[in-house]
Amino acid sequence: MRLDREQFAFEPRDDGKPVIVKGDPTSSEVVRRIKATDDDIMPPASEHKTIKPQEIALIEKWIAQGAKYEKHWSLIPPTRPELPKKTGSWARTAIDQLVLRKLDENGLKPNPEEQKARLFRRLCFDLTGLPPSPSQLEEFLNDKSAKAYERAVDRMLASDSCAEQFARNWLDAVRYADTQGIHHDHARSIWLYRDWVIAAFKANMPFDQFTLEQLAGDLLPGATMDQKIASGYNRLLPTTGEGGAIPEEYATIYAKDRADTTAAVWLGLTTGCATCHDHKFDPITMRDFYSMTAFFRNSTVPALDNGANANTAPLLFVPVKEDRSRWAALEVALTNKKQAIEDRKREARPAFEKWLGDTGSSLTNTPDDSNPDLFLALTESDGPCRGKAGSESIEWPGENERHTGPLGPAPLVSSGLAVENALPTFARTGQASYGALIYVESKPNGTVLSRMNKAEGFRGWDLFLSDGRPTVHVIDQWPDQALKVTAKAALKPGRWHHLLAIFDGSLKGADAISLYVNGRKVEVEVNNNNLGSNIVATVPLRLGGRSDGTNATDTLTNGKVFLQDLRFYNRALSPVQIARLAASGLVREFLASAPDQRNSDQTNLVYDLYLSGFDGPAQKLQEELAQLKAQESPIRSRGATTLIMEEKKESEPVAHLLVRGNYAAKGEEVKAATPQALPPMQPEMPHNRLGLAHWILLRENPLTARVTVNRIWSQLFGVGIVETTEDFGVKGSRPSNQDLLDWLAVEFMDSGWNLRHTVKTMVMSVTYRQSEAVSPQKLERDPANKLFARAPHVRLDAEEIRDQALAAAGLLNTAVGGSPVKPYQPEGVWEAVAMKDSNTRVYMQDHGEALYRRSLYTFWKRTAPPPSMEILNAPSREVFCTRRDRTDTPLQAFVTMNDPQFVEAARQLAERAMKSAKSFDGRLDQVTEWLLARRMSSQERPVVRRLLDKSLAVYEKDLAAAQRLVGVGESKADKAFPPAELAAWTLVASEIMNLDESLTK
Amino acid sequence: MNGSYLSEYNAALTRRQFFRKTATGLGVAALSSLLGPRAFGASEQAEKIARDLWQIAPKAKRAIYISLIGAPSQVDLFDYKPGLQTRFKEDLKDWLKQQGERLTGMTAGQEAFPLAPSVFKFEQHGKSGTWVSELLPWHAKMVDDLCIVRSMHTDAINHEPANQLIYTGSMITGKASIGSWLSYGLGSLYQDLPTFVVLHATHSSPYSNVQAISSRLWGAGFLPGKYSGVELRAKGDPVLFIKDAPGISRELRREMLDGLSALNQRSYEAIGDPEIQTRTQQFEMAFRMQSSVPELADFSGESEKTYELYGPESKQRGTFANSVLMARRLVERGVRFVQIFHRGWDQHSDLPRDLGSQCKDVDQGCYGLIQDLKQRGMLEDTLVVWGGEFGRTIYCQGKLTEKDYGRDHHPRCFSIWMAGAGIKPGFVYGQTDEMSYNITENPVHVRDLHATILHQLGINHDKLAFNYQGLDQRLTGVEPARVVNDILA
Repeated sequence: MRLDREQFAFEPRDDGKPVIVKGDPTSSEVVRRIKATDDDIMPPASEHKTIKPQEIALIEKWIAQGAKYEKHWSLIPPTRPELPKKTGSWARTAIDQLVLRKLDENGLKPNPEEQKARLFRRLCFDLTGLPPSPSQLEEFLNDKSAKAYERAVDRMLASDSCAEQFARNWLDAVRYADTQGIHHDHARSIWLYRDWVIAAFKANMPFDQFTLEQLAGDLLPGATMDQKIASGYNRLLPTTGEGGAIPEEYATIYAKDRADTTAAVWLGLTTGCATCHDHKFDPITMRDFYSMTAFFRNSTVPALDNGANANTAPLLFVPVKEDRSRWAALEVALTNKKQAIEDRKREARPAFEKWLGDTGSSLTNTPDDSNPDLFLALTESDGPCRGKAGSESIEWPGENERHTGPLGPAPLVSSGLAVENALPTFARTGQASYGALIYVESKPNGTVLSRMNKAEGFRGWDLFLSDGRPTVHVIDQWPDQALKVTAKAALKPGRWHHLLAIFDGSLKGADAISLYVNGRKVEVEVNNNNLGSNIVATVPLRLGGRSDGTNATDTLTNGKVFLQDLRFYNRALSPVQIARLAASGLVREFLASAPDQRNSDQTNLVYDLYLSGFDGPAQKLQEELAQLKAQESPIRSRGATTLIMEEKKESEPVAHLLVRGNYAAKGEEVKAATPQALPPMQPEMPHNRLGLAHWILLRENPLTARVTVNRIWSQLFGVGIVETTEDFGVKGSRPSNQDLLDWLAVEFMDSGWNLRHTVKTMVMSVTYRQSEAVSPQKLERDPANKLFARAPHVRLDAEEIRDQALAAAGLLNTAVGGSPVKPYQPEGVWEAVAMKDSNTRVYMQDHGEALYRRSLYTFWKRTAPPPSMEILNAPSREVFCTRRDRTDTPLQAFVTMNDPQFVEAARQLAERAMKSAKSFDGRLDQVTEWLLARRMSSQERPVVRRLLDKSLAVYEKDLAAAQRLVGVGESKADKAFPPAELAAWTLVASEIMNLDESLTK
Repeated sequence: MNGSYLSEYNAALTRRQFFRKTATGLGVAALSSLLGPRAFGASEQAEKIARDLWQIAPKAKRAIYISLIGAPSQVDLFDYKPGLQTRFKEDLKDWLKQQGERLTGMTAGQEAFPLAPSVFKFEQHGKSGTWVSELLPWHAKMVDDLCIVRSMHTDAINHEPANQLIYTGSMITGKASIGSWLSYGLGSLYQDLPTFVVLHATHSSPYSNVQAISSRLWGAGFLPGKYSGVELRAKGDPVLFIKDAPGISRELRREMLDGLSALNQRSYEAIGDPEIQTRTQQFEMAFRMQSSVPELADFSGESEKTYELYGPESKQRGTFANSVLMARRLVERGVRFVQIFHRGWDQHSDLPRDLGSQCKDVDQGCYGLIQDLKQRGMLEDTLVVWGGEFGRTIYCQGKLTEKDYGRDHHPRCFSIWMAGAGIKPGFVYGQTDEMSYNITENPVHVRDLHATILHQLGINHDKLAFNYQGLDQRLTGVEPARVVNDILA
């Protein structure tokens, strides 16, 4: 029986009486049971839970008063409360009036206004995450006008750093990270979403739009590129590509994770428990929960990432801003050109048929005028093979086995026989084209042809097969000075192909190699991309293997390979030449076969060869297409890819009730729907993510606005009006001041979901501007400051602590957005936990400017987050986090004292101070103005002076120690300062950086 | 400002921060959370709760958990199945269908499921006559010290969820790890070292299939962050950033901290927030750790005899043998819980080659640890647990030959061992069927193992709870868990 449900409480039982008799506690079974002393006692002894006498009295009183059931507070939509009529002189805004009323009720008085400088520092951190510079501080302190504070607020709210600060908090909530999180924990490219969030805050995007675009940007009519990027919200969760993972299991986990996160972040609802049973305390039933997950179960996102990387489709390529208009035009041009090529293909068919008829003779009769630098026909039916190297004839013993080829019997290559005197050569900066007709059985592995010497570090070049996939190596020293590309598709077993590699040393990186199969350039993956300068091996050409200096090595296995018409050119052939070369073999084979033996694949292949090799208009179109693609490639290399969301069009979002949450125990199917206890979706709302987003934003929805303003409040005031920012349910905290919460929520909606207005309203209040001092009375009455009779005194977040150090040091790089960066990190942090084949196993630290970006741009590996930040309570970003834990540990002291980032920053700040003044006091002022936004008192100064004097004495005696200290970090110490003095000041700066006053706001 | 009141209050908060032991031995953090913010002063209530939680006399003061990531094959180590030798290559396809267990994505597509009996010899050892594989000769020597549980089972079939289940009590991410629960519930025995320490041991085989792990396995989850395991690293500084920046001597650090303290004291006097004192104290503890940790990492006081116990590799930093020796040093100094992770136990293929190397990595080290603890009189109140996250299949994954095979994941049974602290020595618990597939006697679920570990440390698993997301979260979760009394001495 559930007494949290009214229907059960008053339902007549077997004895005709309900368990609760309105107005009559003594006749109520409930009261008898909770007061029982025998086995009837509720809750039963086995639950280890007891009800206190005063609680029993309360229940009796409630029944006596009529046992009125009321909805949980957070489910009743907020209305704007009436403001107190009488307020004193303290309150200036509605917030203040409501706070003051609560304080009066609790016998507390608000604090006076904070000292101007300390207030300004707190405001700077709250709004921008950065400390004020001494000049900003001075400007503020000197502005005596009544509007000074408001002007400062407005200026900060409009800044990039403000957008970054609010984005950072949002990224915690939605668990943004740069790796997939599970198993391999490969890198994931979704930072464009992070930049979208920053841009949204910068533009003060209304929160309703902000919500719609993230939950369902892809479903908005005419979705823009930015809206699709925003839909990446749905892709932020941890995912896996673990080999043995069961797709259905993970599809279930992911939908639940998305539903949980969305419910917690927007609605303050914890739905997790409803996975297994009706939510005991919250009005979320199991059906509600699975109906919520259904919204996220109709996407095209596969359940598992592939093992190789975490950039799983659907993906969106996003050009940099400057390229976007060109990109759009180019996309149209490319589509048109491809269409024109298709059109030509239709038109040219009759000409092709005719050509095919004529070609039998023409192809065979046309002499080959392409002048290969090496030509091996490989058509001998037995005996030695013969060929030509330039004008020299060469001959070598071939292998015996033959397979019928387009031009005659083709020899097996498998053992790496050397073709003595065949020395086709190209230089690092030169060009070459080489290849042959090739026939494979199965999916062979090994070398097809090469001039490569293992004894010289694999110097040379080859054509190779990796499980049947054509591969090219061009190597100076393997593997560090080498190019390697592998075709994405394998050759088809049992078929003749024309395979050609082109090397063009004038092109950059892996672009130097292109692979052509049957006259068409094929897609490749780049395996090694750092070629050295010398690629000429001293060994001759080998077929079916490489040289180890004397003998063959790396020969072919796992399937036979036959070759014919092998050619090497010391130039890069044109696409037309390549097509003709391919055609000369393949068309002949085609024509030799009986017409009824030809399938459409073969016909299409030959037709394609005709179009690219012999049809003028088609060639022109192909050339134009190539030019367009050439324009595409630099845009692609400048831009980036991001994960986006995409809905399946042919199906509806549904889910199944799962017994005890087990994916394999499917129960009834449910459609996507919102929880019954909340206002219904409107008829016009589609039952998909877009409809869900609109429903979340319904004016009648009692939760969204409250949850949102409460989260912002908690960021500014250290604790939420509802302390459990993620849980507004029955087990969550009650609001410490519901009128205040409701007033803010209604104001937020009335303002058009205006976040900046909301923040400004909060920081303009006198409540916000109170001092942080705490009296014993306040500590006793309100230790956690839930009633806001003072300003919070809380430690800065991890990112704020690091950014403060960088800013004070003058090191901070204020660039906005871009791919994540890798600042200093102790060695071995990633390696200790990562899998061998994870692409984030080895931490490759950045250098220069990238070391000093704001901390929200630091690469976030979920299984090993940046250690300094993790130690300072940054969440792992594996699950949503709407309020950070703030605990103090000694490990944190190690970070701020010894992390090279902080030591370097202290030294840079010391230099800054030494440059600014000659005197001790002048220098100290510079340090403390940056870190504390004030100058030290005459009682404090001697404490610092003592450290300076002591350390100066030590360092003057031990210059080497001083050198070591000032040598920390990549930035170089200023030679203008004596190392001993700089070291001493570095220690002073570090001491002040570690003060409670520096580490808190 | 009322100075005496403030200092009293501050002292209380400080106690909370440091969760020093109360007279009852209960972690004050757990207590204050159970009682709410008014815990201090409500002493009768505190006593009552403490009595409830503390109704079990603790057998263990501390524990060492040896976590073998990847899942060691029970079939080849402890769960001897002599009857299978004649059934080599028998296709179990139809038999498996009757069992109804899920197959992983790696073998679901296999056409046949040939039975692969272990190629390793088993012999009976010790007074208990326990069967042990030839891969673990040192375990064989100490088998009378161990309690082998052959009837462990779990809910998960893949590493990630299985590791989370066994090390945090739930397949769902975000829960608190065993060690963080113990830190929270028991508090610290020694203030100059962390309460919960994590060690990563290296594995020697280059072939081993290595699974990823992450801090979620030793993290605090929903518990406050300070209960997280602290990784003691074998490479670089043992604790991140513990070494003072180059050029800063101990004297200058002391000088700096004295200044810091004096200046913080002024802030405290001005603002009155006791958190300022707490922060200062963290810097002081950091300073003490800068002595205690290097002392800990300095093995020069260990005798050759000790090294002999653990084997030659124990001299090499970061090896498993070295890590267990470090674990002993840690618990000796009062660390509550040490967890050693050793990876590479995922033998989907080449099991005979790779399992041998994995066993060699850990075999003597485990022996050394148990003997060393025994010699020092510490085994009686130190609980040692050894095991992986699930078992492995009797059927072969990939190609089966007379000498070579691989095994897939198997959640329905696996073997672990426990030793010390009131666990029955020389005892084997639980039975599996002829295929080492189903448990036929005395099943022990992962949460039963958790309940038993907590019980030995004096904690009622039902009582140790933390309210988060509307639920009283427990290590053992919401389903009933039982203490495995049968294995208690």
